[in-house]
Amino acid sequence: MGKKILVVDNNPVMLKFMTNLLEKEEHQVVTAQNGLATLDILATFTPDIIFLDLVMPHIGGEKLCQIIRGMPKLKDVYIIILSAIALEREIDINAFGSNACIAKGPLNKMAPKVLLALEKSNQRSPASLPDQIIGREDVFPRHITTELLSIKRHFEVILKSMAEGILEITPEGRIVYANPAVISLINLPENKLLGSNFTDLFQETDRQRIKSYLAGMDTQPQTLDEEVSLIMNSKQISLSLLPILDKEDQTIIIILNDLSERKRMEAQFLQAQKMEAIGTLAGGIAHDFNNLLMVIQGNASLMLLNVDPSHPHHEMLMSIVKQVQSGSKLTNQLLGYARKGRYEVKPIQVNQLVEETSKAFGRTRKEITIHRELANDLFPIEGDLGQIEQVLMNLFVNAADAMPQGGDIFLKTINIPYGDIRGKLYNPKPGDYVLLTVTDTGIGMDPKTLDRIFEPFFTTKELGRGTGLGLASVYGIVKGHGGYVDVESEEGRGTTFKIYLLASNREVQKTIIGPDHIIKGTGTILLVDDEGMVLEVGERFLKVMGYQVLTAREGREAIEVYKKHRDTIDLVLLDIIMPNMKGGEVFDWLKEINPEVKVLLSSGYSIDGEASQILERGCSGFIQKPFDMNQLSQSIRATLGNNSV
Amino acid sequence: MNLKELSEKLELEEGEFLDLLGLFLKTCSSDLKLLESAIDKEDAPGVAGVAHSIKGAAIILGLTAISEFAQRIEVDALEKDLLGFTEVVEGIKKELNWIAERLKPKG
Repeated sequence: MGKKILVVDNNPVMLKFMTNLLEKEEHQVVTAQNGLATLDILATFTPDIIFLDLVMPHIGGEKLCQIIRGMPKLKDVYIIILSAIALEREIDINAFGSNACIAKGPLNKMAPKVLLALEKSNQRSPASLPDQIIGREDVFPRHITTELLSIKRHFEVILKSMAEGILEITPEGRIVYANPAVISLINLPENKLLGSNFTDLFQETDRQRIKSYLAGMDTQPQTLDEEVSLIMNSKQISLSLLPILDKEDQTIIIILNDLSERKRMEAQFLQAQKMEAIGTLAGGIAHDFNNLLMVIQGNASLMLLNVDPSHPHHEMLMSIVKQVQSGSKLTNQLLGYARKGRYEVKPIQVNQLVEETSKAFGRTRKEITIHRELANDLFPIEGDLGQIEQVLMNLFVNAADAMPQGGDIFLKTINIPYGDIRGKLYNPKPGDYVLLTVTDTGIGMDPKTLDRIFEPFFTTKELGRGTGLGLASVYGIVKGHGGYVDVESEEGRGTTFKIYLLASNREVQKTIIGPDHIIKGTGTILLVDDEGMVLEVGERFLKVMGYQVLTAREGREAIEVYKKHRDTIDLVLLDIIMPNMKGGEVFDWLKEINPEVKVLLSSGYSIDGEASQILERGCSGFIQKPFDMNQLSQSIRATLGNNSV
Repeated sequence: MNLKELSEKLELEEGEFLDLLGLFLKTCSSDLKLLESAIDKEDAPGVAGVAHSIKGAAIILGLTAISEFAQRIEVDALEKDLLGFTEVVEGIKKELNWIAERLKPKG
């Protein structure tokens, strides 16, 4: 019974010869001159046997054989390689899925081999499959071909090694070659890619544009730059089109570059710049606002001293003080975001802080179950206790708000050696890290929300509920501590925040909590502040505490006053941010006049590093505005020592 | 060797052999143009590739003279020696003309 046979060869003489030979044996013969035409034929024709040349334009025989074997309806087709190069390449014909191989030679020698191979195809037993090439003895030595093939292989190796994706397409847009980089970029197996239409790889909306570019191709290469935003497999790519002007074989080489990573880095950089700019603005506002709060707080505190608790004004004044404290918390969030609130950096045990804050938080949100998995040997970190506490509380609030019906928060701490963090995009500083992970089982976030969560004033909460400062301050504080924040989230599956903080070599000191009342003292204090109202309130505070007070409204005046009264001044309470001469410079002058001078710095914020730099130069302490009388009296006590009592 | 002897050697009927030869003539003539263009562009791998094709097609039809000319071109091109092809290319052309003359309808 005649068989259905497909013969594929780019040599018309060979096709004609095979057709004549096989038709004489009453087989049905269909022919194709290249790989692409073969795929078109196979879409509607299912042969029993395929004779296949190896070296062909538009998808070579070896690749074609693999594609055919991947087609379910052709998995059992009998494939006979018809090639002159099989000898030189010592190819393993079974490796790419063929059943037999006939070496090309003079037609009289080939004819019986073709018929023999057909006969063998009937037997179909594995034992009958030849592991050698039929007709080898009829082909004269072809060492030259080997050399030609080695050039081809050399080019193949180059193409395979390129980081850019390379495609070759016919003028009609059908893919005939794809290098490994493009296969990985498109994420489609090679056998699916070859023969498919290039434009189909793009989103529906881009296809017409691509077709127009291809139709408008002239003899010159052209590049579709980044502005022509093209999306392939969810990645933004750029294209370079190079027409190949071979007389016989006109194709287009396409070089594809994945721009997604670069675009992501650019977006990250722009985002960082934006955050920095908003941070500067937020920090400035917070500073001025703290000075205002200082005055309100001060006056209310002073009035409270003279108002009996039974007086109706007492409750109102207490309410003012409470509201100032709330306002102060808000400005602290802003300062946190602006990275301008690192006042007191010391070694902290994160586990203890996590335990304390999460327990305190858990008591207020009974519907949330908190799970802790804290590393026993966790390194201490260098940080501002209040700020790290602020980070934790903000993360807990955020997690709980994502679970309005209740849920679980998982807290985990582990040590991370530098080697494990080095590959991260944010280029971490060398050193070991502590990783704190906060995971919730809440509603999660979509990618758009995820992109914006650290922006100040961005909130998904209803108007009046969220300030949009919680996560912004987490970001700012962690950055301000030289750490990094990672976040992973999926809608409906919860969110995980990963906080990386640089480990410290120093040991954690026990915190001594001061008494909760005003500590009175004696002596003279020089109060320096450019804000008249702050100066006025501060002077009253100090007098109530029992101190003699001298004041100065700017740096030079302060130095003059100090020179004049250096023997009586016990302490200078010095603002940092002042016009003309800043607190740091004033401190240096005072130090010059009296190396033993005691100075307590105060500020609505400290420009990152400035306060700590002054402290490093021998300054005695720091207090953040707005402060109340208790806090001020304790700071003065700590600076002057017991003899101030 | 005449065409009859060639067809007998290939164990083909004369009519079928002449058909195949006609196809070879057509293909080889267009390959020859590609060969000359590649030589002009000093494209050594291109020259070697086309010469290799001509050689392969000539071998299956027992056209020894053409296959040997093509092989000389292929060897030289692989050694990046692209000079002195004129004579060899002329040799192939002469052979093709000889075939073309014999394939012309008589009368």
